[in-house]
Amino acid sequence: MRVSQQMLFGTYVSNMNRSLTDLVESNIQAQTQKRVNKPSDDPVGMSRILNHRETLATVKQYRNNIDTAKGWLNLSDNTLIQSSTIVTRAKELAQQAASGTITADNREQISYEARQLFQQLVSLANTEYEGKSIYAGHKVDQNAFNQTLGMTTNDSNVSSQQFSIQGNTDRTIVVQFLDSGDVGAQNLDYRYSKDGGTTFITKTLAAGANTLDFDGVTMDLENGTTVRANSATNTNDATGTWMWVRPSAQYMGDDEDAINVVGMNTPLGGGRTNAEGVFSGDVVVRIDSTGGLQSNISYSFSQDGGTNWVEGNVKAADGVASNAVLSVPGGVLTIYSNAGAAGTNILSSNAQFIVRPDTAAINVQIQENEYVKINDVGKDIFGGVYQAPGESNASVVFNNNSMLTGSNSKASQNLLETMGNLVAFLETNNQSGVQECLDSLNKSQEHLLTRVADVGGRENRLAVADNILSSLELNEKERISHIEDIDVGELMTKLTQQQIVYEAVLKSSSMIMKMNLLNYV
Amino acid sequence: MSGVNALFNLGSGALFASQSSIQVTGDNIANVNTVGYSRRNVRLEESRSIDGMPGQIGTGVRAAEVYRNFDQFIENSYNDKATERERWDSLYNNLRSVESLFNESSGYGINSNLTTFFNDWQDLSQRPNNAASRQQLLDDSRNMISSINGMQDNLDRYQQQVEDYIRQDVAVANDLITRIADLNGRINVEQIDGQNNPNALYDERARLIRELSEKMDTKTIDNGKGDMTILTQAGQTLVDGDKGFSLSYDGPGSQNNLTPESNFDGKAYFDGESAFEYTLDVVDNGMGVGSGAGAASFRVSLDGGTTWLKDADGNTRTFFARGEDNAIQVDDLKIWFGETGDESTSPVNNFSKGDRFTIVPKSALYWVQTTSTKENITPQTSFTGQDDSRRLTGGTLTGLFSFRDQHVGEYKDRMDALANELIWQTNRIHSQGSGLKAHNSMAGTYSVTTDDTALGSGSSGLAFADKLESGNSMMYFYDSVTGDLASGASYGTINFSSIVPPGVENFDPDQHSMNDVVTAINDSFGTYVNASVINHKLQIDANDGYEFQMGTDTSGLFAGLGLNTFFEGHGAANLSLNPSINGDASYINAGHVNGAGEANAGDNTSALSMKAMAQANVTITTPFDGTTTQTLIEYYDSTVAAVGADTGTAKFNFNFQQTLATDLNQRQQEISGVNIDEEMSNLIKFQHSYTAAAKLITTADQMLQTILGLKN
Repeated sequence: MRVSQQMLFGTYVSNMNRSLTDLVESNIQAQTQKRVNKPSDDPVGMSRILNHRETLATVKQYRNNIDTAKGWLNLSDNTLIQSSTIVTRAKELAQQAASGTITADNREQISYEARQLFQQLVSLANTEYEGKSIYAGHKVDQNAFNQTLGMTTNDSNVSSQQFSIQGNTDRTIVVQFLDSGDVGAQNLDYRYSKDGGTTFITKTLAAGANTLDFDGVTMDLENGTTVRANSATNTNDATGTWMWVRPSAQYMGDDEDAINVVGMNTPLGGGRTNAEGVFSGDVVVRIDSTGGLQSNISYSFSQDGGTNWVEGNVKAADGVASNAVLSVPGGVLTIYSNAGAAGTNILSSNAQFIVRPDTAAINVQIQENEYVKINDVGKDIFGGVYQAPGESNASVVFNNNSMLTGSNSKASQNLLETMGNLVAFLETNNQSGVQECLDSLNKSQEHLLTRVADVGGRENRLAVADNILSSLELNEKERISHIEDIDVGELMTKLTQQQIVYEAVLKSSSMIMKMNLLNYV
Repeated sequence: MSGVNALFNLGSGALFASQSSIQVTGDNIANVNTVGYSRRNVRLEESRSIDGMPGQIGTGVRAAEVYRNFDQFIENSYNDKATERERWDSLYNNLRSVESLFNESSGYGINSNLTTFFNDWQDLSQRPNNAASRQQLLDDSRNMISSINGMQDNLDRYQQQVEDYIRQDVAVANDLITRIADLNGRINVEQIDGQNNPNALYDERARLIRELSEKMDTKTIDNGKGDMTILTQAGQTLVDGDKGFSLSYDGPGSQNNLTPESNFDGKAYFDGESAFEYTLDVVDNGMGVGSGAGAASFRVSLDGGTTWLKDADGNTRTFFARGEDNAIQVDDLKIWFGETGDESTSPVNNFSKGDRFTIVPKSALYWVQTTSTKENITPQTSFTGQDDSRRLTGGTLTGLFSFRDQHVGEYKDRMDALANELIWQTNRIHSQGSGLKAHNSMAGTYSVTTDDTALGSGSSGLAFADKLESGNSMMYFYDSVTGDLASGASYGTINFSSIVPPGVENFDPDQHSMNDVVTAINDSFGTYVNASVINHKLQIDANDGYEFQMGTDTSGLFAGLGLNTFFEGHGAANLSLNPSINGDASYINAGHVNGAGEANAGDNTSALSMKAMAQANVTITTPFDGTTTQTLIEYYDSTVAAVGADTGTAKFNFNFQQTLATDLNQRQQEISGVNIDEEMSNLIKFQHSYTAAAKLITTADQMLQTILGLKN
């Protein structure tokens, strides 16, 4: 072959460049210690690195979430244990006071401590983490409980009626009716004592009025409430109507009890709907075929407001025209026919129902698809009284047991109400009342301990998740390093090799460049 | 027999031949480093012999012509490879800059922005009413937005830069074409076969063709002398002998390709910009332009008819042929039909099935056949990866166009698709949530073209028109003093039953317009709020004494109209925060209105949904990738991988083509290159022959002297 001058020098230059480029590339790898320095070095590897980095950041975020969750739940755990200690102390006091060997004065002394314990319980129930109430559901920006006045009576006629109490007192007020009759219908004499029954003041509830006045505290009774008389000299609460206006606490947070349903675009019109179950959030149900409630109903549901639908669910024909029960995540949705008008058990296609549960749980994500509740609904632990949204009256949490004493009394697991009763009966030197409280205290403590176990269980989940995440974190780091990092030994060998190649190119080029016919002629 | 004089002639002939050879050798040596110079030799020829005694005797040598060593076949092969090399070289060089935009090896970039954004929602879920968490989310969101906006800006800038390069290349190519044509003319004048070769002109022409091939792919037909025809590979004539054609780089436009039997009398008009050419193919016969369902429909291809736009389920999408007033949105363009010369009047005649319209919504390269006929030769690659063989396929022009359209154009579309889905998914969750404060007024961020067009139709002009679904949307109304529900029944879904047809309670995107939404809100909740349309956007204002919140929305109406949203905009370039959030972080919706109608400070439902959304697969449909299902962040990661792979491919192709081209260049050099050693030996050879020829003359002179001396 002919070799021209341009070929000769062109080849030197291009070979020199090529080996130098390789050398520089290896040099960059040596400096960054990375195999992938730009996307084109390994496009798939780069996208895997980014993917793993995102996972790593997310794992770190989960661990951060767990840290916060631990803060909440540890605090909750401690708080509930402390509450249990207080209940234990209250039980000791109740036991002492329930014994007949103790004098009225002793009971009064004990009552001061009991009132302190009650207040401590309320303030424990109002515990905050980072300024947020941990027992107020989603209403973290306010106290879970407000101290208020409640009422205990020996008369189930009274406890079944509505009443309201205004004002404030630091001692239990014991009230006794001196006349029998219906509130509002006639004049009713009553007397009350603010010093535990030592001294009484007698007043009259006039016909047409329903407000009892205890000098600083007023109490409205529902018109028509039947009360029974008792002699002014008889302090036995087995007969007549007696009332104890005593401390209680109202739950101010929110609950997760009610489930509302809104329906759209259905000829059922006024037809009733009802949802039952445990829903963690809104569920939308869409009817996909027009048909009667008794026939096949195909429907879809969505848990994210209609962005993604789970389609193809079918309620099989069951011949029941009065209602249809659709199962949806979390529970069931029952659609009733509208008995009033014609053609009223027909669902039209594209009818939509929104199941809207009350929500109170603050969940944090601790792993993909795994959430832990870090707060609690205070009323479900401590009891008290609660006015549900949309209700016109408050009612005692769990049941009415704590409002009745004497022959009608039943044990209650409502801790705050029980403590209120204990205070009431201690302050009014009521030995049998105190005795009743013992049962309720036991029951309340049992309930409290179940909730402690629940919180502890959630703490355990955190610990387990954290363990898994920490090994995951390590694993992700290792993956990234595996894809991204250079094998130093290999790189150094390569570098040496490339250096030798480059030097060889230089040497052979310079040798040939020196040769020229002109040197010899 | 010949005389002594003949010897003189013979000697002088030899002297001249050697001198010519030395001259040519000198020329070779002088041009050893001249690019495009091919080695020349003198063709020596024996002079005519003369018959006589003793028989025929030669009359010496004649320097017949100077010829160049050049192999046209290798040259053509070289040009084929060089044009490929230049294509990939220009593509590779430009892609390297883009690659650096997407380079996240150091750990900072859009991937980490997105990750941070979603993790901030997790932080917020820990402390929904914490101002610092909200501010953090806001700051990181702004950061992410500026990264995504910046990415799009940079990609735009690269496209503009490349347009400048294209313009320069077109000018250079036109200049080369003219010069080659000129050279052909001069060659024809100067060439005398077998005697006078205009070697320098041939070399110059070969050099210019090399340059032209570096700009665009060429094919040469050499009929000898200046009768050389140069065409593009696709067959467009660039030079025909001494006649040159030209290229032009023109702005956007549209072209009709009607079937022979069609008597359609209009033209396709468009608004918007795209890196892709839109081919519209009418699928209905005998239907015209209209505003209802009776209008003709057409399908659309973005790669010259290889693949057609499909929906997420894989069905080919069709669009109605509309007039200007309800122009239809197709991908990035608004398309309508008008009379030729009057875009706002609808054409009268009907389409025929198969009528095609090509919309070129970008500056493109045309081959100018005559002053009135231009042919589009902008390089085009189908989404299946095939080059369009009727267009340019080589040279820097192809590299630059493919960089501008198929690469950066695609990356921009990908970033747009990412931003679009991010906005929609985020807004969808956010619009159903509640923040720390109820709203007194709310301004929608998305506008429609006309207030009475159904929101879900392609002509509504609504950014997310095709995402709307039939469904219903809840609103809650509060007493502004107490903050409680205004009454036990002051909430519910927006009821559309007063709008007849269709007279159903649900919102129906195919029926209900912006005006209908306003009517429905006012009919349902007129006590509490007043809805109106301002600048084609929805505005909701609370009446005195009331506030409102939004709830579950199965139709996507809130997100679609930009109510209670987190982001506004619909693409990477116009992504930004909803102004109300930008001004007040307490409008960030971490919670939702619960079953009791309350929006509570500790509720983190919406914040949790954000991360769940980030981890869920979303479906993104683009013309070039079809439908992909992956998480948003994975979609971005795959974009980075695509850029990396494109750069890697360009680099590989460049190296490969360069090796081939270099090899062919070497083979041409083997023939036409100058070797100094060889020339040196030639020089010595010719010098000797020159000396010998001179000796011949001296000898003849002596002989003559001898003869003349005989007389004395």
